[in-house]
Amino acid sequence: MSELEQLRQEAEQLKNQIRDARKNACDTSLAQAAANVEPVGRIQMRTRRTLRGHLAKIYAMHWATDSRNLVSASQDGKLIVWDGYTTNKVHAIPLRSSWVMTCAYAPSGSFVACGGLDNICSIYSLKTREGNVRVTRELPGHTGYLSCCRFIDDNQIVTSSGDMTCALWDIETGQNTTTFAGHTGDVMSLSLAPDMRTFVSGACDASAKLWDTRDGMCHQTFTGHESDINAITYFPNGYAFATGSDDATCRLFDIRADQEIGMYSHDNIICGITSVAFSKSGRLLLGGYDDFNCNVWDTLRQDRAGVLAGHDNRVSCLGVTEDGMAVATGSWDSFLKIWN
Amino acid sequence: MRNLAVIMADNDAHQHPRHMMYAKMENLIRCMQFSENAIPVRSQKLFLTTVPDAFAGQDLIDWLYTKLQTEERLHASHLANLLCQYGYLFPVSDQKNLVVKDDNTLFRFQTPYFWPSNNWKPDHVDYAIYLAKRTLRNKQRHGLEDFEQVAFNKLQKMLAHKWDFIFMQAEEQFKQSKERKKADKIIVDSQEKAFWRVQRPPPGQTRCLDEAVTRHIKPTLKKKTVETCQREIAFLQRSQKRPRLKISKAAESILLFSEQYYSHDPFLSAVPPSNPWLSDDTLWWELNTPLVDTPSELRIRRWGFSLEELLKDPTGIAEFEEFLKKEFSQENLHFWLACEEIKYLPKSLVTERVQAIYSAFLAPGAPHEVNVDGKTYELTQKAIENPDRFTFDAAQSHIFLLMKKDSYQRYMRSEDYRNLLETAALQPNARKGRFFNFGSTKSKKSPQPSPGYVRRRGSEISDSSTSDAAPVLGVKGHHSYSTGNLQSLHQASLRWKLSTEKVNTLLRLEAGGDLSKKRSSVDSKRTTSGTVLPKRIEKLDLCNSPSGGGGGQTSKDTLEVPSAHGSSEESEENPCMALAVPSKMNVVAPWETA
Repeated sequence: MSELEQLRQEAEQLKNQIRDARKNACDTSLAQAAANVEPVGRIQMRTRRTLRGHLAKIYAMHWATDSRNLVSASQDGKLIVWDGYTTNKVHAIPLRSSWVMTCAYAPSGSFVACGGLDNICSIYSLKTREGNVRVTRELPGHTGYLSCCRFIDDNQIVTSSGDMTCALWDIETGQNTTTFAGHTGDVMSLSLAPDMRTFVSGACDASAKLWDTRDGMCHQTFTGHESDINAITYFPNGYAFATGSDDATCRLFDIRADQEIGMYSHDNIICGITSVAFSKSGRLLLGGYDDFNCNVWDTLRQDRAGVLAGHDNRVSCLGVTEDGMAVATGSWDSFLKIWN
Repeated sequence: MRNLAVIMADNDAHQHPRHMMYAKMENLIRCMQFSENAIPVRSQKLFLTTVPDAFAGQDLIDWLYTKLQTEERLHASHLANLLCQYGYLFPVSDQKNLVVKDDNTLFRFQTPYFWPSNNWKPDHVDYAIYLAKRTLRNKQRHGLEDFEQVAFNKLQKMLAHKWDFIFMQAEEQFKQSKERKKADKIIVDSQEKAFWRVQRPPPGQTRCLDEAVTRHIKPTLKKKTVETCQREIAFLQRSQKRPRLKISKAAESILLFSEQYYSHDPFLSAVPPSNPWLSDDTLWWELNTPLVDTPSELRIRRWGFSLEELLKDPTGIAEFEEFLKKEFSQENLHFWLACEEIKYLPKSLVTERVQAIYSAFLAPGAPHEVNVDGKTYELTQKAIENPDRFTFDAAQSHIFLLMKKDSYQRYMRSEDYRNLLETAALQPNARKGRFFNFGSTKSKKSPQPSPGYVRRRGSEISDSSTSDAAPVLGVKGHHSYSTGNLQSLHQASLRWKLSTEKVNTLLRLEAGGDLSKKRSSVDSKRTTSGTVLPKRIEKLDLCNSPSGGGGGQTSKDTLEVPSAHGSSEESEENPCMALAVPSKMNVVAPWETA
């Protein structure tokens, strides 16, 4: 037997062992465990603010940590920083490349980042001495479009790209500190763990991967989805995460159990999910769908608790504030709505 | 019509992100038409005419409602509308609004030839032929709408060089259509019109078929090399060795968490004082700034959930520190804060900071010595040889556990903590005096409550004095155009700054010099006290990389970094100031064909 054959057999054996180990851990289901939990009842949310100002499809939005300001990116080539509460535009930043696909707000509130088809993550400083907003750093290096970016702090940012990798950057030097390679499809989204030591990424190869920000290693791979994963977000306790996919389902994966433990779908929901977010307690999972609606799921009982209807086109992005007070949805109809 | 249908190979199917959705829709459509309980499709009488091959919107929604067991008729209606907007069925009369009404309005199925899953990408020429054909026919029935006329005029100019060909095609198709039977003609015409309605909607209508960027997957490598196999095996081995938690336990932990935070979740419980988005009152944000003199009850309770939660809150840290000072055990907390802070420092400052932390907390005879066990100490000594942000990870974890088991538990049972809860802001029986006391936190112990001002949860705050006296912390926010509370953003960055200052103070005291002179003073300290430290660490010069090269980096598999753009400070000629940039209307992304 050739060495290759031997190795292949060894790999197969290990895969079987892992599959068995996962099965062994599967002694119940989340739905069963939550059978006695009180249903959350009907969740009805209304639009409290509509943010008008973009002239084309909105592709991404991100709340600031003060739960009041947010940044949104649109195909019209603008990044707008809003005060959601008063609906004032704090900054309207014209971009060098209008094909923007993602944006992020730094936890300190001093920077925003964006990127897209230009393959570059651009960092903008909001608090310059002169009082204007300008690019402070451009992070080239990806060979594919930038699909998502998230700040760890003012110095470090993680990006995911259509070149099938994620990267950790040191903003001050503009260097790519670590590359996370392993996905076999465009990486569409990422989410940082609450302690920022790890992050999860979802890709077009229908798998989600858990990475260690320190050493660049992929610690775990989660499969189960039948199509591209478009959105991913951590559960607030950091031990689980939810994904949204083109196969019209959202799924909950537990990190310590190393497998999928919940699925959120219905026969009459056939459109893909573009974005997901948890409420503060994690009890509610909100998903933005291609069918112009946002569905609210009871994370534990796995049934639909409510619907947010109000957009005239695909809901492309969604985010819950850090204090859990409101959820914002951004859509291809060029409006952002804030609900609770 | 020219046959533009593309037969999709597996790969192509993937590149069409909606292929799963189309498959599901088509399944439904087929069931609707051909299954046992199919929707009745027949010639319907509408006023004085007969409409062939049609069905009522109501029947469609009924069918979906029954078949899919949706909770509400509303969901079935939504799905029906979706089918319409993607072009699987269309209203016979009003084609402008692709809406399925839950009544007797008539609809028709689209022919499979025109289904969106065929990956149609009709271009200007096709559209021109279609419009030209319509102009050849009966003006009353087939005349162009205004927007179509506008488009037609544009196309005539744009495609002037091809116009003969286009017109010829149009005439050819017109001839063919004349040969059809009347009933067939009506149906085929309506289907073609519906197709174009979806492909080229009138202005102001959504184009459902718009897609985002094309995506790719790498086809699985047919050839596996020995190397890739070995790497895969290494990964699988690590995975196999990993202990897996039973789902019952995992589920339990999720349930517990949700339950614990239920009353802290504004979507599920009314969180006092009120939801600012609803009540137009920003008290909630003012009370929940990172550093506040009188934290709310809910917030204080959260500190009791876990030490992690306490350490996330700058006010929690401040209160905990006060408590620890009494017990003279605050170095643990300071050490933990220093270790956290170093993770967010600019890379250039890391090495020095590692030295400073070591000297202050871990070196034998250090001024703020913390206790780590032997093994951890050894690990740390080794890690210092290659200082980075995570050098103190092991030590930090150890100290964290110590605090968790010991001082944190005591704090939770302490009088200090209990007093905090009693005097917290926003309790059902909040005492007005306590609430407005921004004095020193030490005054929390004073017991006299002022008489009965009861603040009901969620009430609107109309008392003008409350708004004046809301806890303002005298921190000036940066100037900006926002009328919002940027103070809290500033304070988020204050959070780390505070610990930095603390750490700096500690380090300064110990070294007797300011931080920039750290190295020399550390050296002198070493020689004087005779401490044995590992070999001298070369300062990595990480700031000066003018050509953007990756020299000296420890990155793995560095992506190729093209020559860096000039540093923004110098070459920035167009600051992103202009709020009056001419707007771009109707922008179409490169991946959307016009």
